[in-house]
Amino acid sequence: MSGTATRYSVGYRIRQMWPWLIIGPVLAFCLFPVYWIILTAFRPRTAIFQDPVSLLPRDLTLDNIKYVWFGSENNEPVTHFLGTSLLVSIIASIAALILGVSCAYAMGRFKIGGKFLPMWILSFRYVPAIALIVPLWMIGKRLRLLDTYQGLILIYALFSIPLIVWLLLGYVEAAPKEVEEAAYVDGAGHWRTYLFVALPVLAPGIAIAAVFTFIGIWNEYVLAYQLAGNKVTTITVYLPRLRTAIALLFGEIAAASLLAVIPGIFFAAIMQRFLVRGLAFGGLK
Amino acid sequence: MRGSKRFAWTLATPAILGLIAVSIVPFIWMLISAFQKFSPNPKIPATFNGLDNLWALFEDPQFVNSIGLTAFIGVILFVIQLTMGFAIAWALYHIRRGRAIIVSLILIPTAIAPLIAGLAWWMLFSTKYGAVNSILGMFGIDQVQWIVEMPWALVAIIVASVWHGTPFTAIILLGGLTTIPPDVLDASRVDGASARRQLLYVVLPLMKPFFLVAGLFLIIGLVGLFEMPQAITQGGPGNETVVQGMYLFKLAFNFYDLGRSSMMSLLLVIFLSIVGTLFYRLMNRKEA
Repeated sequence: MSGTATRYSVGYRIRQMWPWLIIGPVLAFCLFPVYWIILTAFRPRTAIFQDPVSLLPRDLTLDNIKYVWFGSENNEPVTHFLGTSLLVSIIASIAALILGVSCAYAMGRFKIGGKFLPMWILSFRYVPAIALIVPLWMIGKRLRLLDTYQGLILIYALFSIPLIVWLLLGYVEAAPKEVEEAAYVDGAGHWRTYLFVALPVLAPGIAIAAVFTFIGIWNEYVLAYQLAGNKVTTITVYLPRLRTAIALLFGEIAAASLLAVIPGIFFAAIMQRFLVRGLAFGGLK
Repeated sequence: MRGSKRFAWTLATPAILGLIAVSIVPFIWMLISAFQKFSPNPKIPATFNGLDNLWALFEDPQFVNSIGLTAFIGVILFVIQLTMGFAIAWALYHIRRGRAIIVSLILIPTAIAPLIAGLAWWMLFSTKYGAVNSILGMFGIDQVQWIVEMPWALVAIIVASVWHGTPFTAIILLGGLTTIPPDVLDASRVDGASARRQLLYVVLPLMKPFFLVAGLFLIIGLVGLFEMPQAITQGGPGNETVVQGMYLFKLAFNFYDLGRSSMMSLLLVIFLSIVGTLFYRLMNRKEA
């Protein structure tokens, strides 16, 4: 009797374990390349260029990180390109937030533009940058904005508006209208109501939008590669150049990649709770 | 509130003008250029040449191949990402303890720039010094010439794309699963539905809109597919892995054929509008 009970409970427990049979291999698949970048970044050349290469961490070194950070005979210091990425991402994100949050608030609170305006802005998500790269390049050339900070910042700021509007519309619509109306009745005026009453309520949404905007710009390649890339070179544009050198620079590429992916991974970790709900619902709008 | 509309338009106008500047202006520019012939010499003005660019594209085997290749990759990614994505979402849905941490870990590939992801896989697939061949070697499999040989170069691109895209698909579908009220599942269980029947007849129909969203993002990603093949194969061996996005770049910025590449961009925008409209129709039919 007790034997069957035990067998039942073991079987039951195994059945409860089935999700891990899927998640285990998936986690391994998702994380192995990350492990590999980290491993390669901290390996000496002798360990990187072994045939067959070992999968285990041994004889770790900081050499590659030093090479990419300070520069070496094979590569320029990566700090310059990280700096460019940081500068462009921060300024463009701030500009995009000022424009995008205002637009989302105007649309969500005062219902301007009817159904058409939000539909039009949200439809931008259907067009990847590559579909517009040819005319953007031609216009940029005409306006002498190619390969300039202001050109790249401008295009990123404007391209980020739809994402911000998309993320914030829900927040604006959910925020209590009454508080703002009370402030207005008390003589605050539209601008002060917006700046000092509405914006603080929207702060959590704005923070999320800021993170997504920043990461989107930081990780972007197509626009940065074609509309800039000589005088103004972001980290994503610099990275593939490391492999055109005479030597195979796996260690340097891995070390530079590691430095470049840190912001994205950091924010993905803190944003996961929001992502699960946000991505599903955002898509439905 | 007095003057509300006026205030609202004041707030929204800069963003709207900015968006017009990066959408309608380039679109009109593209529309005009698509019907023009550009000389390699920038001093010679472009001339109107009717539909020549369109016919030239259809007669261009490289264009036709790049579209065919992208569609082929698309079909494979659709099948793998939607089934794998749903399997992951369904498993995550049944994990109570530690779900947040696992979601964070699974999302890491998505948070990595596609170009950097491509470079990482380029190293992983290195014939002599790559981890993939090293692992295969443990099972006694000879070194595979990834990247330099077909069809392995294509397999490499697909594996890297699946790695980068599936977490995103899975999280959209997990978001969908969390919207299903637990009573619905409980009710069908009480009615005696088996786990398999419950999945097929209760869960999957409710998930339709979320599959649509995931599918839409997949299509948009395919049109934008560029960084991954650029980083892994650079279109090689030969021109065998030149996807549509890469060919557009080649046409415009290597061959300086601005007319033909504008026509190709126009075709992409038309394609995306059709997909977008179709998506809205399907979504709204579901809600009605």
